[in-house]
Amino acid sequence: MPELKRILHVEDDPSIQAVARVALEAVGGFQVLSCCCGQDALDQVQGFAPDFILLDVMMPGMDGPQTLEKLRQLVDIGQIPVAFMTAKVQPSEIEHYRSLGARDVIIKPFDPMQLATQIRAIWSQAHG
Amino acid sequence: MSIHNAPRQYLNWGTSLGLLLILGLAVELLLQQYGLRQQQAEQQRLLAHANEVRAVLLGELNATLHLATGLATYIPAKAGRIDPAELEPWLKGLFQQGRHIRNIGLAPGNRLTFIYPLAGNEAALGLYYPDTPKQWPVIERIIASAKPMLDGPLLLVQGGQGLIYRVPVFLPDQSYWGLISTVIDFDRLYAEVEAVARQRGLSISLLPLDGALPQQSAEAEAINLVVPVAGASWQLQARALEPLQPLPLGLRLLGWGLALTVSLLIGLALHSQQRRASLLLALNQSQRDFLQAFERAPQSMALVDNRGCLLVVNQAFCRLLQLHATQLVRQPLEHFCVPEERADLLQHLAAIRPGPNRSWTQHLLDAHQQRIAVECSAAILGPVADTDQARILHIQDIRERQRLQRLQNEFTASVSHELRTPLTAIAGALGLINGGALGEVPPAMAELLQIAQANSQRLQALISDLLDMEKLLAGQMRFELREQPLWPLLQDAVAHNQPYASQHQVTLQLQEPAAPLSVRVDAQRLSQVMANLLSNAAKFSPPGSQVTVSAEDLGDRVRIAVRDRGPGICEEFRPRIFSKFAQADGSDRRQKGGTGLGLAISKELVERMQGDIGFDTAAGNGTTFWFELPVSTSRQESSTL
Repeated sequence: MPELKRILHVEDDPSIQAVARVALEAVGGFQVLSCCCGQDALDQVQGFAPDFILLDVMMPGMDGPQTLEKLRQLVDIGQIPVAFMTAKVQPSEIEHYRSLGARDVIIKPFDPMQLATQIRAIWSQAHG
Repeated sequence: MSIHNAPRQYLNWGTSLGLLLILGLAVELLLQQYGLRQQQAEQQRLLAHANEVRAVLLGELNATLHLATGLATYIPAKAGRIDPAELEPWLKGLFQQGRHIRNIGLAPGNRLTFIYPLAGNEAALGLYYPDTPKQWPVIERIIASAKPMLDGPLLLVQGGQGLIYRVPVFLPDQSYWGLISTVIDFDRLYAEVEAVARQRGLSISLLPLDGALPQQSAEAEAINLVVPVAGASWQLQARALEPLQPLPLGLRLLGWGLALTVSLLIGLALHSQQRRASLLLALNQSQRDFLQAFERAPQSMALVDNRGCLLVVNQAFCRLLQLHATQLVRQPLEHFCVPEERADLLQHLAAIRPGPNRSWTQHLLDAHQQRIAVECSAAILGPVADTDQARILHIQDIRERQRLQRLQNEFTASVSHELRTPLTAIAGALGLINGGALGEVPPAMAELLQIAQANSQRLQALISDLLDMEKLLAGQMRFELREQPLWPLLQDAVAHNQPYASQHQVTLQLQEPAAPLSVRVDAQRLSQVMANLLSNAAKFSPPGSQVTVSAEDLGDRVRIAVRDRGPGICEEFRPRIFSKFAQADGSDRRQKGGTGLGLAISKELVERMQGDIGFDTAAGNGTTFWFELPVSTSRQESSTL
């Protein structure tokens, strides 16, 4: 199983961005690139070459699923797992997001101390 | 409006009184007429009888006087010579015929020389009339008139009353001869006539008129007849022996009684007639008022028959649908309902029963095919669910209410959402610091940071509950009901909530049911309900105690119970335990944590899953919260409530 190092995080709220970055960098020991919107992510994804992409669903302009659709044209999401972050949802909605190509959904509000663990679990599943 | 109209009533009774007076007057007139008739008949009778009496009197008198007349023709025939021997037997015969003759005297040359019978009359023999000043003027008049004349009654020298019939006798050479004087026993004659009168019910009196006019008696009912006698006339006055009976009192009473009865009846008839009229008027007025109230009520109203056909609609209803009443009446209500709800509408209409009103929401279509959300309430007119009874429908336009509700829900949702994002950041940041991601924190600061984190978590829970509640009330929460084994769900719930219970030194204990159970449930919602019940139980349990979770098979339902050993729920709080923001003690929220929405949300969630929720409690003996869920899959597959 390849090592998970670089995570691309797309989130419009700077505070959440900052919290997630600390949770992933300080707690998880990953390298994180925070993007403030879908377009920013599309612009930077190839340069950064992430191992994992964490996408907020609700974003102004291009939302999470739309961003994912565009990302698919630039990278192989079969190789780079994508997880959505969204408020409490029904199992059926999780299924819907999976059908769009996401590996899993991380429920907001997330536990920052557990976030890295959760992502590792998804990573393991994707490469298991 | 008063049914009793005092002035009109007085008028009625006044009319009755007037009528009574008029009828009474008529009765009196009739009685008077009747009296007059009676009186006239009596007068006729009196007159007839009086005439009979007069005829008797005249008959008696004339029979008597006739004797003297015979004598008056005898003397001239004898050339004035009187032969007592010849006269005596003849007079004797006459005397026997003339019953009332007392004596007969002959006075040639006005000197009474012959008297028959002489016995008892001797004193008068030889009387020379010119010497009697009492009799002479009368006799002188008789001689002068050469006509006989009846004089009297007068007191006789011999005693008693008598009549004296004096006939002047002239010889064939026209020379005056003298007088024949016949004395009639007036008392006897009178007695005889009076006896006849009495037989006929009359009392009579006889008065000489002496040429005067007949005296009118003061008594109207007395009959006065003139009795012509030789040379004079008498007045015969006759009156009834028994006065005419006055009109019997009974007749008058009967008349007045009738008048009174008729007046009273008419008065009563008028009264009741007027009462009925005024009642009718009041009824009409109230009917008009009610019709107006119906017609102009600000709410849409309609009467429908048992098949849902519109019978009457009011103005507000016409305005609501923007149709004229003529376009609505006699049309089935379902024509104005959106097609997909027509079956429901018919069901609702058919289900209207006497008793509490039935209400439902519905969408109608107006003239421009615009949907109108309405709330309908219906009641049957009358006490029985008779097929013919009309139903009254009350239709309220709830579009504005729904719009406001939507706005409120959107507002709450958006506020909650806007609150949640910064809170996620705050709680995340605090979580990282308190988790030691950024290294060691000085102990004093760590305590405060712990407090900040705990409170940000409480805020997150509150917002989460508020959003759930809004979703539930707005019917926007989706349920994914699936029949699934219960045991793993309960195990998960206990496992998830044990850490929280441990904070209160409480152990969660799960009792495995005898046989595997399955329920039809949304697993996520069930875990939410369990979390609420378990955290409540843990909060209110004494430290070191156990909270027991059990499940029981009830046939088509499964009962899940959470039992604590806490103080129980106080009596006053029990009725509102499932209300929003209900906590037994206002200070509980701070002491025990919690949002005050947990049980309200649990109740909504259980009920949306076709279940029931409740509790059993006893002071000092703990509380058992339970909820029952259906097992069967025959119910709705999935509901979006």
